[in-house]
Amino acid sequence: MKHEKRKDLRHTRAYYINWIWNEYRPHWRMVLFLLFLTFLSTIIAVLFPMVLKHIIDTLVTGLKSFQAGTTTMEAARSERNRLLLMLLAMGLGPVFSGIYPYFRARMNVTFEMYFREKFFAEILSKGHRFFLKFRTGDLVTRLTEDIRTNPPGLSWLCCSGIFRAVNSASIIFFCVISMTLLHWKLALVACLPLPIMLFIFIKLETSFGETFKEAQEGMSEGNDFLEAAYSGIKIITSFNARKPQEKLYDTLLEKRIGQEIRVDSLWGMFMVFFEFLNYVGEIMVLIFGGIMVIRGSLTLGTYYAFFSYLGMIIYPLMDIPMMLVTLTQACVSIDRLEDMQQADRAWQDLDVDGATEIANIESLSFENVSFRHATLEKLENPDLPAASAADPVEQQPFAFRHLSFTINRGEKVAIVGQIGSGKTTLLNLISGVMKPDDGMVTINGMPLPEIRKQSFRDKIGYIQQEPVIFSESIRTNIDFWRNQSDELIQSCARLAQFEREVMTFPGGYTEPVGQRGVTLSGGQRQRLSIARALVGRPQLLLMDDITASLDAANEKKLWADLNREFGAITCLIVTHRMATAMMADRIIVLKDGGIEATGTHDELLRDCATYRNLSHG
Amino acid sequence: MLINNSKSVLKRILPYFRPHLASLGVALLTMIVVTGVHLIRPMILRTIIDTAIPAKDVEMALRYAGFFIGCLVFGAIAMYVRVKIMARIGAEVVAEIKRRLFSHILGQGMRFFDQHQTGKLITRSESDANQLKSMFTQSTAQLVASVMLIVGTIFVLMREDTRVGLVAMLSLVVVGLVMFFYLTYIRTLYTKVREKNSALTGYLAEYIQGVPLIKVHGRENDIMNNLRAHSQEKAQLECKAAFIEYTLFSSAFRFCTEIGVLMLLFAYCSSQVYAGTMSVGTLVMFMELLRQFFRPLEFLIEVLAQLQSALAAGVRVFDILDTEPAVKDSGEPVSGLRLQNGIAFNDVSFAYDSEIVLKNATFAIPRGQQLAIVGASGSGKTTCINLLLRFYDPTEGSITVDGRDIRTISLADWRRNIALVLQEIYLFPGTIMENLKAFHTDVDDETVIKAAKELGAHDFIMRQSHGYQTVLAERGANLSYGERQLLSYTRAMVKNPDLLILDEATSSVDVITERELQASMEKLMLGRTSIVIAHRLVTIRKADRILVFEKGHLQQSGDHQTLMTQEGIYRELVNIQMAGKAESHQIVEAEPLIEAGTDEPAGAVA
Repeated sequence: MKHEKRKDLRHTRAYYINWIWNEYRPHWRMVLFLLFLTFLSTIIAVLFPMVLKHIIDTLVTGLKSFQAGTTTMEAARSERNRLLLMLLAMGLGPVFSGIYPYFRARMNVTFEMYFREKFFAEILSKGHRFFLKFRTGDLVTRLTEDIRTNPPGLSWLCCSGIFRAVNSASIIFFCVISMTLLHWKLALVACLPLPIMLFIFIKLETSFGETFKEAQEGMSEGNDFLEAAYSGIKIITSFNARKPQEKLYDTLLEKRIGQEIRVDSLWGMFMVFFEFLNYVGEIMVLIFGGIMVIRGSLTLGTYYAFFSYLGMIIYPLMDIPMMLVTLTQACVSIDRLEDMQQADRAWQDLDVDGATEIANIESLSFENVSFRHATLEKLENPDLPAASAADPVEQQPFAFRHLSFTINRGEKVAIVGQIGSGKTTLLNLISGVMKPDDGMVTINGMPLPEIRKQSFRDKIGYIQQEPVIFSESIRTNIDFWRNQSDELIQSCARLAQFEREVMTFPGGYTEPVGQRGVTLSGGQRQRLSIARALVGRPQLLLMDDITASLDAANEKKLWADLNREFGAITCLIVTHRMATAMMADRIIVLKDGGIEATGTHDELLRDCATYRNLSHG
Repeated sequence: MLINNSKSVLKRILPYFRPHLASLGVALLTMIVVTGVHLIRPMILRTIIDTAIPAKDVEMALRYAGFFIGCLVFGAIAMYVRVKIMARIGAEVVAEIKRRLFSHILGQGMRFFDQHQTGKLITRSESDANQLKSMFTQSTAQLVASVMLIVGTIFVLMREDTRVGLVAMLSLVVVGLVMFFYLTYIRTLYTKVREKNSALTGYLAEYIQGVPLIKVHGRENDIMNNLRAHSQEKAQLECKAAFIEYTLFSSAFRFCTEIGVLMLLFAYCSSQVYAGTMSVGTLVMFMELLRQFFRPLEFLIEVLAQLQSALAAGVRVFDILDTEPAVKDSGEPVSGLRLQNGIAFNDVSFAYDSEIVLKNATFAIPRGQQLAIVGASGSGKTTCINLLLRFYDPTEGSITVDGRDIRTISLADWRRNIALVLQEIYLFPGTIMENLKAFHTDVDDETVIKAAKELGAHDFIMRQSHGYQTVLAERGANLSYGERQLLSYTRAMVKNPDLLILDEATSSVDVITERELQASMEKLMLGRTSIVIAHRLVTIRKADRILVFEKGHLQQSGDHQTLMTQEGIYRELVNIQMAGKAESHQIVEAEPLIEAGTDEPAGAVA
């Protein structure tokens, strides 16, 4: 089990320490400050039992001389006041120990923000293949749970985690030093059980982690089961499958009873240790210290100080093995972040920005473009050599092979074809989100990579099949943070046949949508995304199957309005609806990685079998 | 209000613990032992200091030390026993609660599922049940132990010195109150942090989903700025919480309970010691007792908060267990029920709460016919099949099978004769075989394989890594939409029903894939009575009869040819879907097209 765990991590411990250290380097002042606070608060804490010792010893000797009549009540009282002041001074301990965690927390949060931005930027620069490997939910987990501060994630570990370990270690260190200074023989005896305790803790921690993981898996299995059963309730009910489902759930629960008992028992062991193990050292002191006091080689105050020290050591002692476990988690998180960083690296390296600015998109051409989707093996293993035509083994079929065509400014081109014929891929190749394996996409005769990205992207509008809606107002969603005028936004919404619906919302354009706002229907989302694309005043509009969002009448209106207000706009429309295709100047029929035919509706109906087939025969 | 509920929660949950009463008694006993050990430890210390040391009696000291060791071992064993007992009781009780919840929820009618989201139901069945468990096995145990220790400590202090005892009691009350208010405050602060956090998670998910869109439009910088702003909001709140928790409260609290209390104690006791009314050992004992005095208080207040939320969870759990199914299974068993003549809707109306969704629908489905239902979303077409399957019962009118009201037939016997195929395909955790059998173990494999072969699902099933025994990924995510659709047809075929209900798969399936599915669907419908909820009108032209619904009313009925000759919704719908000739249509929007799922592979754009 242990070996497996080691294997889980991709690098040596030193690698991770170095990784964290690199993140720390810019913050070295903070590190020094935190170290300073650590030692300061530790030293004050360690002085406390010394004060207690002093109090008791003073009391005992004071009492003796008082009883012997060598001191007066007056002197004893001033002695007492002096001791009280000393105690008060010890109050600095709690004060410092309160400042310290605050600075740690601040540092945690700084790291959290830094990591999130750094890796989100990384995601933003990834190619589409990256998103085949990493699902949204997974990425979100990596950018939130993995790096968060509380409950402990990477950021916590990078600061609080490390400094708490440092703090614990320094408490143990200074306590042992102090005990040795007080009475080295008794210190030796008192510290004898410490390594054994540490060993037991580590053992306990490891098995707890494993058992806990098992129980967690049981829980998520249970949740999956419930999710499927509750959302598929109609099927379960209509197939009379209630009893069989109950039986399955029962089996699942039986399995979990065992897991839960194991977790709770182990947790209980911890509790027992918390409550009783710290007395093991105390017993040693109780016996040997007691004997020493009786023999007169130890004062009562020192005897008591030893109890205090042992009480102080116990929690740090438990903390350190816990740190080891959480540190392993940090390493796993680092691995997961790096996974993300390394995936599809090649794409990012190729994705350099061009230098040429363009004023207009006059023409768009595909010149001998070939493209194939990456195999899963390739995605899992980015170290494999890049796909090349010379390597025919384990290749996906070509999405496109030597595809060539040209579209000129102002043309409306429809793209039709069966599922998997590459319609969406074609749009992605144009927008530059995907890159051809061979051949090139050119704008105004210039290869796309040579053009400055922003200057090209400012001029295109992309309407996705499944539009993304942000949890902001409708206005912001349409504006897409471009800071356009209200007039433009409204007129684009009108164009997208969306305005009438916006007016039905209580807040109109300011109505929030998404997570905490109104829910938009699929059609409304798409109409919104049409408006969003238009607000950028695009010259090239890429529309991926927007038929669902508009009925025929509204669609017709959209085309008319678009022609009127954006006369010279170039449109590429992926569609299943023949009525849409009919409106285009030209229709491209895709099949088997190439263009099967190009032409108008009537021409294609006459000449193209696939097209006839697609248009319901 | 909560208190009333809480009481009833306690009353309700106790029966679950009845089988474990003896074990609970033992657990209580062990708690007393543990408390005793904690109290006896400082006393032993005092005895050693006050008697063994002055007498210089090593043997006596050793005897006490031995006694102390004995106590510790005894206490540790007692505590471990308690933990073991509580772990077992807790796990068994929670399993029982979960079992009942699941069974009860599955037995509810569809109305219940309309009112409760799946996510909420999972929370009820899982974490709320867990909370109830931890309330009894951990919180209550912790509570009892803490109270015992506090009471015990005060008792010992009082016995030794009434004044010390009284001061301790007073400080306990003060500290307790302060802590209570502080914890209430800080908890709301952390709730805000959590809210900010989940908002941030939400934004992040949206941004990540939007990456292609953001990139295509070159909006990267703005999105980065948004993310930073959201991050910062959360970070600031977190820092504030940390400042209040650590720098303000924690240091003040520790100052008072560690230093302040000790100063008070010492100021008072030192004069007592000098006056000879108190021994040094007693002072040490007091110091030790106070060191462990405030810790249970912290636990106590934490536990009270846990109890509060556990009770709330309990209220939710029992609310569900108290919900009576809206559809009563009061019919009699009819074994071997077959459809003889047909099914009839007799003046059927149905309303959710006050919203009427189906009004006076009367129509018949003769045996062996194919009926199609058409209409915009919300027109009442889905309601018809929901009523037929008795997911709901009509508010008025009746549905009869061969003249017999379906409410007089037991649910299981009635549903045995119907198979349902939904446009969204639900597959469950388990193997393909189990899913095709709908988890009924009395169906043999041959029946399943025969059905799969007939519908053309066999080949792709055999291509899976373990054939029929392949375990499905989450909802069959490792299969294409077409394949999942075929599985759902096969599942219906295996049931071999007289009546088939199909919620037709829709729009964005390309024509060729759709035709393949259509062929399988027709095989499935062969020789059965069937009802199809249609979204694409081309697929239902062959139906024996088409019902057109609008806003809960049955507007038109007849076959395709008849309806096309009539002025009405159907013809307009057909026209819209065919070529878009209608200029504008106020009555029927293209909603049926929208509600459909799409069939493009999920990763195509993302």
